[in-house]
Amino acid sequence: MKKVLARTVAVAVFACATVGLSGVSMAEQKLESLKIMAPASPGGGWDQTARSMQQALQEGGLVKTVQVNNVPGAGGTIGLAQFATQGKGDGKQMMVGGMVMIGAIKTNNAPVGIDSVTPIARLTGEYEVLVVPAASEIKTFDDLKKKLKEAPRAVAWAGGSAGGTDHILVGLIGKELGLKPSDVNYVPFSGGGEALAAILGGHVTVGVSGAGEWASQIASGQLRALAVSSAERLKDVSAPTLKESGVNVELANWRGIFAAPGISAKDKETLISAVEAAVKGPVWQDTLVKRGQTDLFQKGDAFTAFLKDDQARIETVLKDIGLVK
Amino acid sequence: MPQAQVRRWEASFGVKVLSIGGAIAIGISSLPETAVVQAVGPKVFPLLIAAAMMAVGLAIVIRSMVMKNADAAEIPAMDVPPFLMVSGGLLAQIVLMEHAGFIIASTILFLATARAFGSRSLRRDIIVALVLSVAAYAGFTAGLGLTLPAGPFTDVF
Amino acid sequence: MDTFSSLMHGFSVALTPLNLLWSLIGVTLGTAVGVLPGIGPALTVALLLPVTFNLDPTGSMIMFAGIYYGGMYGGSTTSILINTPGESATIVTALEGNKMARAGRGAAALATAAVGSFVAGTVGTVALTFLAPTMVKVALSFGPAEYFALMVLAFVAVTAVLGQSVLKGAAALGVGLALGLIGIDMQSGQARFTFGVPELLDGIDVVVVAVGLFAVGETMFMAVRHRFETEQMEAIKGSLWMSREDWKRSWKPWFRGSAIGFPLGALPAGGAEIGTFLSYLTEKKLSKKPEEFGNGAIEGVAGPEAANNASAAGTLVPLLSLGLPTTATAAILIAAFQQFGLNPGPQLFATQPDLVWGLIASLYIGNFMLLVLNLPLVGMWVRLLVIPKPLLYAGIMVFATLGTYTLNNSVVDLVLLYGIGVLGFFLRVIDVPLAPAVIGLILGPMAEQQFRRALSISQGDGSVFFTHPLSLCLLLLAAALLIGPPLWRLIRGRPEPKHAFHGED
Repeated sequence: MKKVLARTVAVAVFACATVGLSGVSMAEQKLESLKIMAPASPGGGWDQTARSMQQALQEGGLVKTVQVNNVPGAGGTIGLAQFATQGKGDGKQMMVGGMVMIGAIKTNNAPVGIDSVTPIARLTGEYEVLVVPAASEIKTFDDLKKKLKEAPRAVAWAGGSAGGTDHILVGLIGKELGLKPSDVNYVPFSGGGEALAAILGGHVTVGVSGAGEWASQIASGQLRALAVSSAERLKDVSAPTLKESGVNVELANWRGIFAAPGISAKDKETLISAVEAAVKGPVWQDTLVKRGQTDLFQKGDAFTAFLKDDQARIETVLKDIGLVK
Repeated sequence: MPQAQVRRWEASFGVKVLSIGGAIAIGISSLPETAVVQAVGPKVFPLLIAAAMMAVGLAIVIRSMVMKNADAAEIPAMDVPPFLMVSGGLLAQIVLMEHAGFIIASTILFLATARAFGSRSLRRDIIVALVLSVAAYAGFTAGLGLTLPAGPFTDVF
Repeated sequence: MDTFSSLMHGFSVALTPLNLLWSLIGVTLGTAVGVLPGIGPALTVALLLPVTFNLDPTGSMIMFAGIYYGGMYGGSTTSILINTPGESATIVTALEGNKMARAGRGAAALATAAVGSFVAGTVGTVALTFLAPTMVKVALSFGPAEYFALMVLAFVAVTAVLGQSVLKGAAALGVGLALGLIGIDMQSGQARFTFGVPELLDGIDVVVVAVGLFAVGETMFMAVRHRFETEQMEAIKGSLWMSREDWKRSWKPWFRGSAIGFPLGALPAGGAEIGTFLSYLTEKKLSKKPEEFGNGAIEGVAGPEAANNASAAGTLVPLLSLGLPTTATAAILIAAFQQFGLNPGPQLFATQPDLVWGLIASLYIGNFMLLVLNLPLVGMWVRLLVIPKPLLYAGIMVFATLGTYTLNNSVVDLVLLYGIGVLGFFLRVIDVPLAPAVIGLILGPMAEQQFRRALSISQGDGSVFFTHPLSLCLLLLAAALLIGPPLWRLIRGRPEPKHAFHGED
């Protein structure tokens, strides 16, 4: 109790300073300080990843002090541009990014691409889920397929903003089912539950989102999950995969971490091993469980190769949808 | 202020509203066609707003011409130098923020604004400005964990 | 367990000394960040998230809820005293509140805002406790068509804030709507009016526009005028406290504002602002002295302030019962729940009764704390006005730019702030009302998106707005408000008033 009280007071006075005080006593300090940029506002997905990484690195005794700064805007491309120019050659900076950034670079025609920074590791991923409201006459993915065959545009898909992960998934599914892009009636909603409300209220036919985001509504029976976009079935959402349902699509909204352009091979090695140690540690693993995310750790060259494939795939979908010329 | 001048202000305001409307209409028309199929495209609302603004602007111009003197709003008496002082403070802050840091940039903005309001006590202003910007800086960086540009004080905090 | 005994159990959780302390920290922090323009509860909670990582979930959530409620209290202070809204939900408060402050009645305005916030917060929390399931059903019945109809109604409410000259008010509204066009169009993914500046892709933040038009524009205006206004603003004329008359004029708006704000807060795409517009309109229409509106009518402070606090309680309805965030702060609160491995939603009431009911009980306590905290502060806040003008306005500028810069850590926002500030200055000089511009910026994009969504879903069939009963009702209400009064006067044979409404949107 006393300890908790002491912490309470500490929070009131120093708010953030407390994070750094615990568990830095380990002997081996590989890095003195590190900056991690979250190219998004505080509270968002990339910010959470950056701050979890900050905690994992600090409490694992891998880096003494880690600072997180936020540069939000335009799907992370503003942060990316700033990181690529200001961080050049600096081995003490990292930036969080992910699939949404790849899409935003293409749709916004951003001047700085993901190739201008140094890939360190892919960290986590969240698979997508297709849902209908409990009262819907659509019971299975096959029912949805039938509806799409009869009157494709009568099926209103609700998801996040145009060109985002949800839209990309719908584009991929449509293509696999042989629908024309103009037959996919995708209705973008802004984040923060607007799409969820439209689905729960039965205003749209089917909803698309990260599986973790709607897991609780699925578990309580308000939403019915038709399919998930993973290779294997998910633990917390009981629904068949798209592949089982005859649609050869697998998609994870992955998040990764990058270093500045032009850093030395030694700096890159140091960062990779620090990140790898952090990811293996209990702090990080604990966060993954709490947030319902999948560990998709993949480092260095393997990640670079994955990035190349993923960029090509995303660009093709976005072109099909009509968002990229 | 003479009525003629008030009318000129009003008329020029109307012309500005009218031209913003026109600019929106021209700007949106030059937007490339989107390949995304939609019931209502991205141009409809901007065109409605443009039309409404042009109508309102035109009405303001017409009214300024037929306006009776009693209907005209008074243009208050104004000094120009204070406006330039405040503007200068803001522009200085824009330039200095990321180079000289938040504390210096804000202190200059503070001094410029205080001077615009006729402050004569430079010493008092400097003290208040420094106390305020240092307190804000400390509160934000230590209290909320936000990063503000530090400038030359990187090592102090 | 029925609701009442659950609530009592909640009080037993919330009343432990440690949780009381969390609540106190939360409401104090919330009031502080609410006062600062540009810094709101969403940002504060987001930044405190990592700090609370290892703390007790109940205590942390109680603190976060306190910050949320506190932010709604604090936002009105600067609106009233220096015509600089601390939050976008308190823009309407500035309209009458600042006029009152200029007349030496700032203390009464602050007091009616504080008591009104308490009344509305409590009414809202009672409604949250007992009406949540019903409210959720209503909220979910709102689809894009219904939202668009609601936006139409809100646009009608804007006519109440257009000011003396309808044409100038309409022009200001147009400026706001035009600014709202900037950025990526969500439905098509196309960039509109971004001029190749990547920082503009996400649009211009309401905070930048509100702070620019009000704080920067106001400061410039006061600066050029200071030589001609030798009269020092008096902090208090007459009584420090609300007079009997003030109470009489305030209590009905408090309850009406609560009744308007709560359901709108519960709507997944409502937000606190719309409730304040509608409440202002209601008070102006119901007032026996509508001519006082625009010159410091206390009803115009009491109603909207109650509405924005009730909406904070309303926001918690879909948040707790469905796991559905409806505002930026609510979205961060969901992230906070998830940080503790909890998913807000129907199951949470069953799996974590201590936390949910402790949280709800803490809202009653937090509200009371806010009242006790804020009433004595009224006396202190009004003394802000006796700070010498050079220091007061210089301080405002520092905080205005600080709040704006921290939005995106970007100098581009400071440039926008300056440009919009100069615009606000010139509008102020030729007596163009500023509130419609901010309202246009908030409502315009929402109206457009909902309209296009509704037509996408109906595959282009425009009849949806009239075949959905709820949407039809809202549109009829809007039409009645718009053409009702002139029609009534026509029937009664009275002459047309000077400030008749001219069509706009």
